[in-house]
Amino acid sequence: MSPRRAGAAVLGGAALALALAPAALGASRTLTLEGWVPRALAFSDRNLVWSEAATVRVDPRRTAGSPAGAYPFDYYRAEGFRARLDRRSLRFTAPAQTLVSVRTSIAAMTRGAFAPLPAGGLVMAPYSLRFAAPVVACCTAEGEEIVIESDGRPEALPTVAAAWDGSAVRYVQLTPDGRQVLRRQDAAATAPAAAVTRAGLVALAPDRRAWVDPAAPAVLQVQDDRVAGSTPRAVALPGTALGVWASRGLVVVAVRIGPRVAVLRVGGGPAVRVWSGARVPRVATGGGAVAVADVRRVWASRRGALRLAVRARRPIDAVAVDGRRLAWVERGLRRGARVGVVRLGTTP
Amino acid sequence: MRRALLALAALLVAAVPAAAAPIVALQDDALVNVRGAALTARLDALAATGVRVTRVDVLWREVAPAKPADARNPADPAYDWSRYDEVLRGLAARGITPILDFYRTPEWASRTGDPAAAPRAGDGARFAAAIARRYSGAFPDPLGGTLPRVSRIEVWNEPNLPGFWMPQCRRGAGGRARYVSPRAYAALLAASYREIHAANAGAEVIGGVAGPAGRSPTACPSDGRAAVGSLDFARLVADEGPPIDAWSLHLYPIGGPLQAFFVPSWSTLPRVIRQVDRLRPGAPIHVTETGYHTSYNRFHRYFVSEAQQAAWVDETVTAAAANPRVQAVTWFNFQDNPRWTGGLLRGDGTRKPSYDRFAAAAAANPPPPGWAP
Repeated sequence: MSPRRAGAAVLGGAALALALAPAALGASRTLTLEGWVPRALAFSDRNLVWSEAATVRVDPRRTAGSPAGAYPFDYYRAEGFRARLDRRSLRFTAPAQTLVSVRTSIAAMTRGAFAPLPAGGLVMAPYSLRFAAPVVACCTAEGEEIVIESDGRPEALPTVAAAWDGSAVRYVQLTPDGRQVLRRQDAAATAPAAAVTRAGLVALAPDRRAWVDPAAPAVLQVQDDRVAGSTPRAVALPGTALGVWASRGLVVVAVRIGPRVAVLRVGGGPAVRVWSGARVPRVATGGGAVAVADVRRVWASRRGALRLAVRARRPIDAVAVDGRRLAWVERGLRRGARVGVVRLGTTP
Repeated sequence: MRRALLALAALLVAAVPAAAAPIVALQDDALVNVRGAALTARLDALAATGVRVTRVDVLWREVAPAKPADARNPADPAYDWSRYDEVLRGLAARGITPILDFYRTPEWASRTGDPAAAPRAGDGARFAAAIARRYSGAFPDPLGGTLPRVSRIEVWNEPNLPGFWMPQCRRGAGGRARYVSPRAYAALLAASYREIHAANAGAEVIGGVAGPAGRSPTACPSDGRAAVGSLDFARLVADEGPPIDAWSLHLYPIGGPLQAFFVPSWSTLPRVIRQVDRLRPGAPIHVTETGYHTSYNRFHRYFVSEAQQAAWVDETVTAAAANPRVQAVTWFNFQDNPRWTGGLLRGDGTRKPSYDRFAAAAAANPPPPGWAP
């Protein structure tokens, strides 16, 4: 082949590649977010969605035009975002988009309850010890956010779990004595159930609710919400429950066993240990898979014990899994500023 | 030691700026949406707070659904003033002074049909003339006697925000935003000033009415929907030099009234006042909307607790009093609704803690004689 023909072939191949993969143009393997803040991540169709919460320090020394005598103060934010992914969910194809932005001067919030909705949507319920933060979903067909719960009265109930059940958002609120109130978007509140729990020990999935009563910390209760009037199934745990997570068909529990922490997978049968470590890891479940992130490593699997999936160079603040798809947020530094770097991968 | 302490106390007192008591007002935006017994009940509830000054939105589109043949004449058959006559009679009967603002362009005066479309200055000013003439204190009341007098008219509402005035900007060279709303608004303000004074010589014409926007965007969206910063808006209107009697703006700070320092907030008022002084040195400043939401809604993302809202009613009055140019401050709104949760009353009509604090502030800051209805 003459050099001229070879050059033409290279150019033609490049043109063909561009024509076949227009979506990959400008796609990025990572996404950079501001700050090292607590985040919750999830996949929603061909999107990654997440929520985060942080304290915003307003400093007049860093604000141009601040009047003399101004002094720093704090307010608090909780926000929800979406980033579009490519077909294989290994690249980001667009910058992050802010979907929900909650701001208050009342008190600090944690990221709280979070769940994906179809088509790149999300529902988020930030949590605060001092007040009942709102429950917000995104979005309507017109792209408008939906404020599901925003009761500003001092006696309003805090929301501790939320999920999409296929047609509406369901969420769990807690009375001051820890009793659960299961609610559904646009429906009146039901009477508080006798079941007692606390924030972090209750989780909702599209098809089930799981919780642990702090008075019986080694028993997980799993309620199949597809069957009206059914009684919850009690699952014995090998230690004191530290956290509960749920996705369709699956509940994940972290328990303390002596000096160690174990992560258990609870399907239709007994609890099965899939990971153990020295501390409570970041946990995610989705698409039948479980993932945990402990310091710089991510373990994940779709069945059986978790396998090492990622060795990161920096600590990991959040993880998401959906079957084969995996995402995590690593701490990073850009020009001296703290950033979160979102990366995409696959479940082993 | 005691002398030293007394001297220190005297120094501290001298260091605090002289506090001028602001007029404390309250707006109930539902007043113009109800009639008859429901209106009577709302007016009674408003009066029960002890407030003596309020603000009433005159919706031009509702008053003039069809184009009047003689727009300056409030008796033109195209006008329907009935709901405003009823509101203003009720306020006068209760000793409450109104500040009227007008906005919402009628379809016949709108270039796009949108109520937020900027009106032609002449059309808007002729409507301002009709308001001033009808509520001059000499216009016959259809029910007998004369209609109440209105002494303060705000020209438009938040003309720096796209929800109330469009377009805000055009794309200039290199894609940079060229703000068009300040000049167009200044033309409306100048024309309205002349018309209002011709109809009601003693009326105070209030310009600005700028909504709570901070930074102006550097690029203009293709549809012109952007917000011009409150301070930039004041500067650009001042560049046009329209006449005013007073300036107004709206403050919804992030942070307490005494701690916030983003533009626009109480502590940044001196920067606005420098621009106002270019138009009329020493002109009074009215903060015709301020407040704090007590729950989240998608229209207003920042909120505080009911206890904070109550405490910040007091701080709002303190912040206003610290600036002697501020003459009146209006809390917005009286009662919560799905789009606005900054009320003194919850949606169900029960009182928030702020209600009592506001009532105390209103009682402690009565309007001076010149503000009597």
